[in-house]
Amino acid sequence: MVELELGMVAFAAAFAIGISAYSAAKAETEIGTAALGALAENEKLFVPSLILMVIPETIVIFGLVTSILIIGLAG
Amino acid sequence: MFHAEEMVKVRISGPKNLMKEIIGSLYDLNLLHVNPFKKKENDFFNSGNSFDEASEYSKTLVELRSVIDLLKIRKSKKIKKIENISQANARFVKIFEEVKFLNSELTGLRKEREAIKRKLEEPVLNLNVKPFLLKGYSNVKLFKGVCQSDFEPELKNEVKSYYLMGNNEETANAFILVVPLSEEEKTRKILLSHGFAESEIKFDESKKELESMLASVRKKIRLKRKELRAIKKKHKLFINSFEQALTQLNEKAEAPLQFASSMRSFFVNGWIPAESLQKFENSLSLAAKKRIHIEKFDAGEKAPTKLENPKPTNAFELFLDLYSLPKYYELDPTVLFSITFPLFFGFMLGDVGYGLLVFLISYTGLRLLKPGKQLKNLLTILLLSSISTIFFGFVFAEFFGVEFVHNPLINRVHGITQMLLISVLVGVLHINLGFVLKAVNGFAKHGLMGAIEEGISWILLELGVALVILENFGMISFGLISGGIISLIALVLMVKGEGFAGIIEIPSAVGHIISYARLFGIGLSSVQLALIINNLAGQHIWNGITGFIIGLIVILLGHAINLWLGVMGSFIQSMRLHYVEFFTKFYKGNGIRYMPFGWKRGD
Repeated sequence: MVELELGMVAFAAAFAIGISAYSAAKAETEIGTAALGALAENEKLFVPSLILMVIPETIVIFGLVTSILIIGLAG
Repeated sequence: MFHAEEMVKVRISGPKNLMKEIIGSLYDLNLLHVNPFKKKENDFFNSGNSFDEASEYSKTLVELRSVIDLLKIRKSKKIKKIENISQANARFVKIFEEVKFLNSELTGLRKEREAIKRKLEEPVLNLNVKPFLLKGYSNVKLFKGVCQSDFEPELKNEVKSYYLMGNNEETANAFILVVPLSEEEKTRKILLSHGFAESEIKFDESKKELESMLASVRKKIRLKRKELRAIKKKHKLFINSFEQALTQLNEKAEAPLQFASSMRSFFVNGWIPAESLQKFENSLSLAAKKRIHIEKFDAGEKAPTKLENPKPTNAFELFLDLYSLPKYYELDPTVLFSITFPLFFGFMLGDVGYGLLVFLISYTGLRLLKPGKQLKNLLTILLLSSISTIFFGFVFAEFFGVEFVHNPLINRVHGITQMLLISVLVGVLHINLGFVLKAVNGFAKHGLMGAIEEGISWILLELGVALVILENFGMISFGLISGGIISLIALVLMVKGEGFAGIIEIPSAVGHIISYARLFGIGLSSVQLALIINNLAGQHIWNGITGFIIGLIVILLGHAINLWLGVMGSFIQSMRLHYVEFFTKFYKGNGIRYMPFGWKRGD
């Protein structure tokens, strides 16, 4: 029984980081496509594009923090 | 250091007949950032006109640059001084005519080559029919070409007698069809309904002849290109020098467009660095034989920005160049950048081995490559960051992922909670630094109240919230009331300073602080990858000679990939923490780059 609970905790943690990583990746595909389009028109937009590109990565960080909290709270 | 170089706004006025001398002197001084004159409706002054020779210069420049483009002449620093412009111009006209003629011939030859190539690709040539068999008929009609679908069954039904050659896979469906003249219209209709494309081949062109024609055209093209190369080799230096000389002349001749002028006088507004003012005044009045007047004003808000930071922190000006320069009166965060960027980078990569590698790569790059300004700045940034990487490598006691001390100061792999706390704490500090800078900017613009409303209010709010949370955890007993009051005051100040937009920013500020968790997240993934590589290699490396080779490959390749990922990740994430989390607190940007009127060497 203990092992099932442990498995559930691990699963929840994995779910937290997995889904947030997927969402960030999904967001980045769209931003990346648009950014490349913009870059083709104007190379000076490189830094703004780069910044926009990495903004969704915060989502993964939130997911990571949540996973760690889940594991930590479960002990 | 924390501000752009001090500027003085000047207005230079003088008589028009000395304009050329004054412009020449301004150009040589290379100090004045010109503020172009824009005529308003009832201004007494008009915008100036360029000198007469300007149109001649720009016409020649267009021709000159087209020649440079055509001959693919690269810009070089080797320049010969051109003494006599009209002589040089005569020489250039000759070169230009020659190049133009050669180029038009070349274009014609290329067109010819393409036409022959197209013919050679025609499938009808595969039929290998002797050309003389295809001409001189008066009673039959001859079709040659390709159809998209098979027309033969239909033809059989409609036309009584015909002769068909080809039209199979061997000839790629090319065919020659002969029908009596009386059946011509009917046949054409059938062929067209099957997507007939008639061949362009003339009757007297065989495959062999076409091939020899192609070879001769190619030879001609080679000869012409050789001639062009010879011209390039002979005149390269001259063309480059002439281009530079002419560009300078043209810039001078067009300068008056930005001046204000009346019948006999002119004036020009602009900024110069305060420390060069004396030199500027002296040289200019000397050039104008003292018949000139220079007024001085405060720099004002629109003054251009010239960053001035001590070495090696000025390498970090790269980040502002890429983002947006600060306004003249705004804080220049380059020095802060140069402290926190390497720290963040090192904290994320944090490995003695990787640090040493990055150090070696950037050091040899700086020594051997003779890099341009941007690359040099980038390598300097990497060099400083690698030192901090080595430092944090010792803190975490990691060497290519291997723990070389049993109880390091901080264990990155197991002390996750500790690392998370440190990261968020760094976030709180960094973001509050941003608020302090915001207060400083507010103070510069609106005085003490501005500083309190725009920057301090945020810090007060954090304090209030912290007090409430501490009471919640039972650590203090007075937190709820005092914290609430402080937060309320902070909110009122915030709304007064920035309107309700400030309140909307509160949740994002919380998000920003948590965002600093990436400081350890990136590092953790980097260590884990290194550990996996080491484990994988460790399984093989002591298993005989083949195992050793496999293990070695895994180690070299794996760590090379991980280093690349780690450096890229740490660099971009550290940059992002500054641009997104830090800069949004205080930085406005949109400054104008200080671009003095004069010759710009290189880029």
